[in-house]
Amino acid sequence: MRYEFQDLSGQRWQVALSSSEAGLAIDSLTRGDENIVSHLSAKVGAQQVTLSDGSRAKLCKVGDDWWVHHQGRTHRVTILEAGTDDSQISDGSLVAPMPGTILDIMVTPGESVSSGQPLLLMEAMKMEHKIVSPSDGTIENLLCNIGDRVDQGAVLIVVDAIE
Amino acid sequence: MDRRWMNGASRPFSKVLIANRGEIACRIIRACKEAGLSSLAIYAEDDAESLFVEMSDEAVLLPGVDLASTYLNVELIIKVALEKGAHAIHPGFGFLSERADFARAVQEAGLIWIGPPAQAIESMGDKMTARRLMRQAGVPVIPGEEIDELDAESALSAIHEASQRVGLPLMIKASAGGGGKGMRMVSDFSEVRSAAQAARREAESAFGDGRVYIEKMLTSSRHIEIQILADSLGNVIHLAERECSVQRRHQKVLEEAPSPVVSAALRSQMGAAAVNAAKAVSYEGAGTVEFLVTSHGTFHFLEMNTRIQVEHPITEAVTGVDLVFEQFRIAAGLPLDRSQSDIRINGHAIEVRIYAEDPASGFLPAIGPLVLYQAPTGPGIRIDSGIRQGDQVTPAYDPMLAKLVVHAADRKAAIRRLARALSEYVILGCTTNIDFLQDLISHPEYLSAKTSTDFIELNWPDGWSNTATGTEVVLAAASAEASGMQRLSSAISSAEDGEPLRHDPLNPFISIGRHLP
Repeated sequence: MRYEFQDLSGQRWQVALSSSEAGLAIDSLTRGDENIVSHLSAKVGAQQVTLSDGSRAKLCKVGDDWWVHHQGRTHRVTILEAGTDDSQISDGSLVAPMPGTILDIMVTPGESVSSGQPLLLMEAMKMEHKIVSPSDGTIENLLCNIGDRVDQGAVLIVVDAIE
Repeated sequence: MDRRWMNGASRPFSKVLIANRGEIACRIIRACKEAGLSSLAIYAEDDAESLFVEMSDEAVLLPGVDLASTYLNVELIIKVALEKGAHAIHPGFGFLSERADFARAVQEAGLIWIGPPAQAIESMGDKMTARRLMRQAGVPVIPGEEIDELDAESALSAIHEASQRVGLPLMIKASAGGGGKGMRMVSDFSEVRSAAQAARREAESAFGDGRVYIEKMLTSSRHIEIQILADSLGNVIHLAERECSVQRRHQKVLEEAPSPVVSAALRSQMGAAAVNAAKAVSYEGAGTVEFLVTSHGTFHFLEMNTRIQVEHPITEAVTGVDLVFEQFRIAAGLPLDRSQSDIRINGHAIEVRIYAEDPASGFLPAIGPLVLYQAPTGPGIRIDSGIRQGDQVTPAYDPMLAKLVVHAADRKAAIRRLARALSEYVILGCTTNIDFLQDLISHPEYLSAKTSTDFIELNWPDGWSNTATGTEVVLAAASAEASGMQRLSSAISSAEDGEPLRHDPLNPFISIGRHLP
């Protein structure tokens, strides 16, 4: 059984497991390009996993995300399908972080922008949020208008980054 | 039901409509049960399954999808109270709690208003009026100027001129404001105009009143507030202070009582100022006078909150006074049953607010299903919450999920207890600030009580990063995946689109209210 995960820092993990008398044991584990040697094994219960180091994790899965509570801390790792890339939306696409209304658009298509430059202003959860350019580049596409109500995840603006 | 405590009251009542939702509605319903009062909840459609509706004795649906037709619907709420035979209305905090027109309408309908007189709400709600009244009452205010000009252009030029006199850095604040809305910090004169425009626009849209005032920004000051109780006979006492310095986006994150820096002498000075502030507006009920305390130990009036506060439980813990019950007693017309000398501080209490938000991306609100929810228990722990496992966190309301309050013999013991409780707190399915809170309370600057309103910006200048994921976590997730555990959890989380907000570490969304130095 092989799985690939991505953690919240963007780090990718590949793990191969096999069943043994002690439970599920790690055959191989990599984090990015780094090989990690681990002799940990795990036993799976109803809603928790007991590890061979004596620690326990509580887990649940929502969508492709595993939420893991371990030693007082909460983690989330996303399971990646073999061979697929998660960048369905191109890197320069800025999406609405939550449902809201577009209050102001400070740029026009074709305009050069610098990293951190405010691009548009939206109101969500009764607060104003400034959406800033993630990189230096040009505005490739503008997909909203002032006054639009937008859903969470809607692509608002596309920045073509200068490599 | 036992209501003997109300014997002899000039305004007795037995049924209370709670014009609120969520956590504070649950708090008030519990107080009603203990006081022998019956509770009537109101709710919007999307709250039909909420805990407070389940807990109340009776609940009435307010039709409509927006706040104006539900929790802010003054006419309908009063109509429901009259039709269902409620005698009194408790507004909680937020929503209509500081709306003088609501307080007035409730009383004009012949109902008891569990709150201060409309006139007091009005005077304190308009921050410019409040500043002027406090100056007259001899309560020190933050250096600054009120801008009375109504017309946008003349207001902007008045703001520009006033900013030169007040000096940098400064805050531009909405006169009708509160809760961080309509508020901007300015650290360079070139920003005055755009900040003033933004503050005025936000204030206009949130409160329908774009007037602003300017305050000198007292950097590295502490936010310390005094709880007061005033009865309808003119008796006013204070219940000491709460320190609420740890904030993000001008919203409190952690509060504690007593403040580690307030001496008995400063406490009695600030307490006396708070009592004077309450008397200046003929206050009645529970209220809070907020001050900024500078590093030199001088204190300045910030504002008065004319309602019960989110952080009231820490005062309850250290004074033993049930503030919501006191609100009932005062509303019933009973005199305070204790004097200033009866108020003693016992031990130390800390409250942290558990928010559905992502501290790793500028504390942006998060949404998602509460697939697994296990709150800590044990000695000295109190959880005030309006949610339970299986609920969905939506963007419709405030992102506060729960308040975790700990009480122990002293500050060090309270911090140890809080660390234990936070590590026991399991919330899976929706991002919360629990891990951040654990780092916050174990920070050496917090342990040594060096807290100020810019504590988070100062100590996490590049923002906070998620707890690093290790081998154990990856193995646990892989094992769970391999064993098909998800079939169990997805059955719980099938509600709606349970996909939580995805937060890239390079999140381009930052909130305007937060300025990282």
